[in-house]
Amino acid sequence: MVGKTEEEGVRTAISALARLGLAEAAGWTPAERAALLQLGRAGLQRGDWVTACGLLEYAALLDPDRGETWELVAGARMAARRWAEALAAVEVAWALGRTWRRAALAALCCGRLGRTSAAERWRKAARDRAPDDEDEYRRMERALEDREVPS
Amino acid sequence: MVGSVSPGLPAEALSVAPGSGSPAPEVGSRTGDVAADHALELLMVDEAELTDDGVRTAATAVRQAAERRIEERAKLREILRRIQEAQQNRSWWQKFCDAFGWIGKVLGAIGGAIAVVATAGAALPAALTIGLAVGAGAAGLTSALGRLGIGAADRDEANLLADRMQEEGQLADWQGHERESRALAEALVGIESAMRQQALRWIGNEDAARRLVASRVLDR
Repeated sequence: MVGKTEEEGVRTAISALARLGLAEAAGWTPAERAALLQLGRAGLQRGDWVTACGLLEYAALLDPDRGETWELVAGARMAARRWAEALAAVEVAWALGRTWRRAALAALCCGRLGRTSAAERWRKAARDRAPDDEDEYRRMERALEDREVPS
Repeated sequence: MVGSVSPGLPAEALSVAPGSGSPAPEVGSRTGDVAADHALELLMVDEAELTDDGVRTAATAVRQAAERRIEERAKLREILRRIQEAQQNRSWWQKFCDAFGWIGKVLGAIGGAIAVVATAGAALPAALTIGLAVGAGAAGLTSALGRLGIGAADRDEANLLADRMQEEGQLADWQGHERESRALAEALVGIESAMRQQALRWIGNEDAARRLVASRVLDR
């Protein structure tokens, strides 16, 4: 799992990057950035992982302090079986905000990477932050029960 | 929604849509991998299906933004101006300098970014290069690291060096380091420009896919 020092470093870096305002300097309005994110989601919905990864990574560069975008980057990379890169994105999202969903995504990545003890720690972190909503809880448990041995 | 076939894009478009590198899904699976299916279920479960119009509108907005011509030098000037602004706030600048290597790591976590920086051959500050190396290493981007000229052994050394530099406070004083500020600004603008070009290509592919689908429908 990510250490506290690393989390703090990533947060400070994100804050510094956000403060530089690359998106504004490059001429992107908030609405246009939202549209970029929407296109990335559309790529995910229709199963075009390559496009989804690229557009979402671009959205993360323009708005680096949005944890939700990093989550989606991770999802697109997982769908493309890029597990290590997905984990790197989840770890950034986790540094920006600890949620059960991010911990569950990290557990899935670690599971596929064969890092069993890290996967277990992430599972615990997810369960420690378990959602109140019953449907969400079931989905989380379904995901955490996935312990398929990496191929 | 997850598990459904391509909302917002007719099924025929799938065969011509970009993403040929995507794994072929297995029957009953969206991605062909149970863990990835779970991930998408967690991320997309409440996602409203995007209509064709919604995707088209978003594509138009992104294309307009991506085609907007802003001189590279103007972007660079703006970022450098903001860095200088940050320098005037000493406590903030100190934090910024301390985070320099971490900025590299965050950029390394943006997959396309590391490849662009690596191939640009820019003279990046040591801490940023180390951050990129560590970030790319964590993300498994070994080919990009190779282009940076950093092998596995060097990467370990870079990690140690990063630790040592932090311990010794060598990252603390970046004031007056105009070259480093400029290198960071150039790296950011270079990454943004490359990703912008790639985004335009993807949108172009999507447009082509839609036109093909539309022409098939008209032919019927």
